Amino acid sequence: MPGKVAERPLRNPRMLIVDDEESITRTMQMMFEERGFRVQTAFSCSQALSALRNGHHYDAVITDLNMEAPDIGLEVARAAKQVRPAPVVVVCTGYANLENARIALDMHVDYLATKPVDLDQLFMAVDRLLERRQDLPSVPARQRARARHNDVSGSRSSGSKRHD
Amino acid sequence: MAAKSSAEKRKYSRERKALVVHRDMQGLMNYQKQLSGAGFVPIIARDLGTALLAMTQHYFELGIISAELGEAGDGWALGGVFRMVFPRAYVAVLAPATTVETLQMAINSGVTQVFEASKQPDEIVSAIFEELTPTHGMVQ
Repeated sequence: MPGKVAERPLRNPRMLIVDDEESITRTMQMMFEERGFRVQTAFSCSQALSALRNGHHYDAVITDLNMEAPDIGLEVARAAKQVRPAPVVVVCTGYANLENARIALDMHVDYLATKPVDLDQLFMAVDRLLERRQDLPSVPARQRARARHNDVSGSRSSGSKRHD
Repeated sequence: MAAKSSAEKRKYSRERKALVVHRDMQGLMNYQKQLSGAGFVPIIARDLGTALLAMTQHYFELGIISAELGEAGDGWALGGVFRMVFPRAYVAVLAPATTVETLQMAINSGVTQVFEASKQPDEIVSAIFEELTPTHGMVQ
């Protein structure tokens, strides 16, 4: 188990777990903390939204779908997707239907897990998605890299016609 | 500024390539025609091996993959690989029907959109182009 944690490229990723069932939240918190995550919990959509909007930064957000209202977890997912850099967003639900699954796909939720959640699959998915997120530069980082490239191209092109 | 605009020109003059993976030749030809008309260079494959080979040889901004190639559901795995290789690309999977399981497969494979395979290629391609943004396939 410790070997697996050491392999993760991001050391002690920060995670927000949102579920109105405290037993589920605490169990997931314990399991992810054992794997080296720093976990914060929220027991409602509103708690999760205030955590996301108060400048807390998370590498991953796992949210239930039905809490104060049906499908309200999609609000948490939407808010998390607007944060930059965007965390990995996982929706866990026992009530997936065509409508909420379609919305989740359209908002580019990273993983949809159905309850009862297979924790091993969830761990693997979160690790894989965190690795992919590490590999993929954020938009501002890409823009900076491109600006640097353009500067270099510009200075070269002044002495050469290769770029014209 | 001049250098920047030439860099912009280079970026936009680059050929935009789409990979279409479908076991039915008629289907492939229909997509080929639609994508060529929309300014993409379509690369076609009828099986997993050819598709993977194409992915090693081209940079794709768009992938249209049938969910059923050699056997039922193997197109999803290919969609997932396509996403990993081309993280900014638009990946569409053509599934026999839209169900909760299909949508879950799409989300968990990193697929951008799911279309019902019974839809006409022109409908699917125009729906894709409505959603396609300049950031899809952006070179990192």
